[in-house]
Amino acid sequence: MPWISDDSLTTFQKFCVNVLKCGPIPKHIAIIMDGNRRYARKKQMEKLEGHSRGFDKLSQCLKWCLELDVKEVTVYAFSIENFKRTKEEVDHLLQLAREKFTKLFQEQDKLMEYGVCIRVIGNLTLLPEDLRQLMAKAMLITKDNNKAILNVAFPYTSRDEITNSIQTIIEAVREDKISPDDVTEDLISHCLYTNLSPNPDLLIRTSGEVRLSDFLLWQTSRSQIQFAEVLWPEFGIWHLLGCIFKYQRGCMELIIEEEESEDAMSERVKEFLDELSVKRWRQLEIYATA
Amino acid sequence: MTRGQLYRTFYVLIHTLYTFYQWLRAVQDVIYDCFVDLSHEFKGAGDFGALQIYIDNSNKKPRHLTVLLGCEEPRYKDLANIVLWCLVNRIVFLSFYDYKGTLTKHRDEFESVINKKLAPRDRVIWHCTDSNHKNGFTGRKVHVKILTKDHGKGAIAKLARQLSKNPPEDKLSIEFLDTKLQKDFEFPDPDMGLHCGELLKSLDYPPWQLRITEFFTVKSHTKLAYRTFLHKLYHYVQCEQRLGK
Repeated sequence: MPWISDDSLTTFQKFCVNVLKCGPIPKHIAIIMDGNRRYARKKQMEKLEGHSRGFDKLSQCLKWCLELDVKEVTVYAFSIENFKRTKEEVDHLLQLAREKFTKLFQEQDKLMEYGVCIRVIGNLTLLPEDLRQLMAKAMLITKDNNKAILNVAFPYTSRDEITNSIQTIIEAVREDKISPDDVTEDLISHCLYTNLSPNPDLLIRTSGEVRLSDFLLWQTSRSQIQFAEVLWPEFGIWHLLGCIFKYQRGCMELIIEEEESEDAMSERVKEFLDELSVKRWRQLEIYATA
Repeated sequence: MTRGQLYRTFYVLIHTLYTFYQWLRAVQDVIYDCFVDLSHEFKGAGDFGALQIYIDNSNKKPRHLTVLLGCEEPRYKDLANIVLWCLVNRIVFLSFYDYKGTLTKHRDEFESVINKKLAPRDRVIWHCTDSNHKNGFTGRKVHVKILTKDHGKGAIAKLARQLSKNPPEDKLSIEFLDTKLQKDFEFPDPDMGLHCGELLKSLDYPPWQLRITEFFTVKSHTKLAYRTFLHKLYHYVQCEQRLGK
């Protein structure tokens, strides 16, 4: 299946999408795509086949999000903790990623037409070199697209991300680019892997599990969190519309004043962040040509 | 009627119908609660004895239960009940997170409500800046802490500031940060989160500690019944943690 599914919605589904679009729609949805293996067990298929079905579902889900005008989607595709799984399964998941990212280049025209930007967030140093190269290439090719953004967390944990952000800051202080007084919550946010994205408005976890499993802990402090009972490969458009409807109820019930936290950033900090951004893109170019 | 107006009409209609449905559900809940309370009057212990036995015999109990008040104003009487229920169920660490900070401001009031309800053989150990722990107590005890936003991102930023002044020799590791943050947080990471209000938001809850927390929602902590608490505990006991495997 392609990265963005070609399946079109039925007339009734389109009607419902348009109805919901009269209300608030989350600009950014984060998804913990859980339940692939349980789905495989349930359908008595190979465990590994469950993961493939999971990817197909992502492709459909992206199409629905495009229809709903959800601009950004972040998915938890592979946790650093997943490396603890059996070698066979880890290898298969990495191979699946290889295939999908290779396929992405074949679909380049379509992705460009939709204006899709792909970003991989996570600790890329933990990946095999060839996969890292594919991911870096995909990010570089699509980096100027801005109609729809897909962030793939691979391999990711929030604690690793926060640690990495603080490490970056410590090094910057050591090199005298910023001073310890510049170190604030905002600065940590700006140094996370997700620094290019706004915080998610809605986080959905499928399969009935009710925890965040080290996913976007920092970024979801104001997001609505929803747990859906359905296994990820069985997640349908009605589940998504249900989540959006619930989100709209939430927007009506809970109005919390957002604090105006961002203090004016000093020139020194801005300069450091610009430099960091350039450094990260340069690193990707190195990965892409390695 | 244009298409836009048609969509808009349906949008208002479905939300109105849902509001009505919620209202019906609320009425149903009130009637159900009255019925259950009344039947307990007649049946004594009630029908949640089996649940209690199941939980008592389970190996998996939350070490740290954290109550997220959401947008609710704290009601000390109801929160004090949760303290007592933790004592009964041998949950050793209990924290309350109130992002508005009301609970921190009125801790004395909260403490006195708890003390009135406490049996002489039980003890609540407060964890706050001016607390002094007494060791050697052998009865039932629960450690209680009120969490605020400052225990969260603020604490991480503070640690990052300290580390940038005195950088460690080695590259930072998750374990290193965890140990440092744990020292301030005092409690183990919460394994069960009881969220008040159907709409779940962490509202700046300390993010580092939320990694494995299993969330359960209750409609409100106001007049929270023991049977509801027990049901949530039962669901927690049934949850399986895979930690990535």
